[in-house]
Amino acid sequence: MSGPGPWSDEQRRAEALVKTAREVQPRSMDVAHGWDDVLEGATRPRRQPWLIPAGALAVAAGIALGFFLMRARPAPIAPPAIIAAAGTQWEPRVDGGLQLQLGRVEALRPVNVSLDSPQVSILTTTCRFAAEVVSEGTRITIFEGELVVRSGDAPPRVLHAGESALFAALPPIPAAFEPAAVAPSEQCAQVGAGERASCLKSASSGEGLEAENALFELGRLQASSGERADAIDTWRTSLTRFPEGVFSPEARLALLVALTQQGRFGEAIGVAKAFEAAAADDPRREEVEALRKQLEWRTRQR
Amino acid sequence: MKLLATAGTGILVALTSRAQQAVGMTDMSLDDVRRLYVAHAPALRLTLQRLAGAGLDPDDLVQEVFVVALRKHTELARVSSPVAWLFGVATKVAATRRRTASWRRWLGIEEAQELSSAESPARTLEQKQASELVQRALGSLSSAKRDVFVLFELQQLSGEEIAQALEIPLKTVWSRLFYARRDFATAVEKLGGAP
Repeated sequence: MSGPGPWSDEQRRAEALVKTAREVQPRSMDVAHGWDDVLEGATRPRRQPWLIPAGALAVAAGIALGFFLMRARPAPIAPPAIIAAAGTQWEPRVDGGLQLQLGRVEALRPVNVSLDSPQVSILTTTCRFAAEVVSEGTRITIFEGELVVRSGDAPPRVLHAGESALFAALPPIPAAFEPAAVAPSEQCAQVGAGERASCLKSASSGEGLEAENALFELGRLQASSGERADAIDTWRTSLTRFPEGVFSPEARLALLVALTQQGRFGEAIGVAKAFEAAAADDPRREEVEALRKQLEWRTRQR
Repeated sequence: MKLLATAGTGILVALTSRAQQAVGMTDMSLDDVRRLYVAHAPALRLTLQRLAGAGLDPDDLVQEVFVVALRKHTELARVSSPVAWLFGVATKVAATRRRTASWRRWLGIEEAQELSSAESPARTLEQKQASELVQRALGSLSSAKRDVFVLFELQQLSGEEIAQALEIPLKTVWSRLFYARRDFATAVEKLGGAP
């Protein structure tokens, strides 16, 4: 515990204790055996102890085949059941499904898979299909079987063999809807990033402008951390508690953007209408109205 | 070429170095990750024991850290300090396992048993006692403070490495370390001071 003092006697004793503990060396390991365990662990499904041993045997067979193929292999990415076109951007999900960001994947035979793209979610067990993400949205084409496609809050749509459908990309969000810079919550201004969320939750439990400010900032923190559902709940709470508060227009805009990005067009339309009614003089009203009309048109197309 | 097999859906996925180069990523082979394992696994295991506390198997935890390293090898290839990255993963693994430890024991996945220590048996009695007292004092620190304290004071990573590992600003590292030292010293005194 080095650094500028002054150190109390208590801290000096703690420092000496840490120095002694630091001298302890790590126990040596059987790294060869340990590495084998790591490789086996990398190919196991995540912490699912209830999986039957037959599944583990299939994984082991897959591992053996995979290591045999590890020497060199031409592109493109080519799993046995699903292939991806060159340049496709995708990644496996923690639950074993696929996250498709751009490009095309195709199931060469009916396969059990779940797949998410920016616009849709699909789960199939008996379908041969192709999914392609382009600038206009996600196109799903069915070659064999049928598939249920979910897109935001639209009713699930069943596609059959021979059918193809484009699920449109989200409408662009106007730059004017970017959250305005607000003064950080006074109570939490000095708190480190790791404790900021809990500090803001505490500050938001009060009353008045400080609480409303903390709620709005908490929502932005949650949204930037990828916790979109929590951010939506936080802004809804803010609008419930402070329907005409100083930050209510910004909270409505933030909520509108978050719901639109999640494909929850019905709810977004409701928020847009509330903004138009409550902020008739707001310079962003026209853009909110334009976005609402786009969302209403897309909802009718679903 | 690296492989990730996901048994849940039976899909065998292959990644090729050509695909990685197409998006400008540096390839990190299995051998590279293995070298990191050989070089740093014992120290990581000791750190995990300090972070996770009693009742959790540090061998299991270090395995989990390197499983993450294999699964996120492209991210690992891009960082400036792979060692700091590994310690960052270790803090997350330890935090997750601490939270679920009692639930896992109830399910019989992890038993509250006598686990082998990650410390060298060649330690002196004084070192052993100091280590045990440090471990008990660490138990009274919050997760955020404990992580910074262990990485800085015991593992002796730099502030910049800790900031990268924990994905926090450097200022926050120093701020947490300040409070962690204060709380640690208080905890040591309450536990009876130095051995």
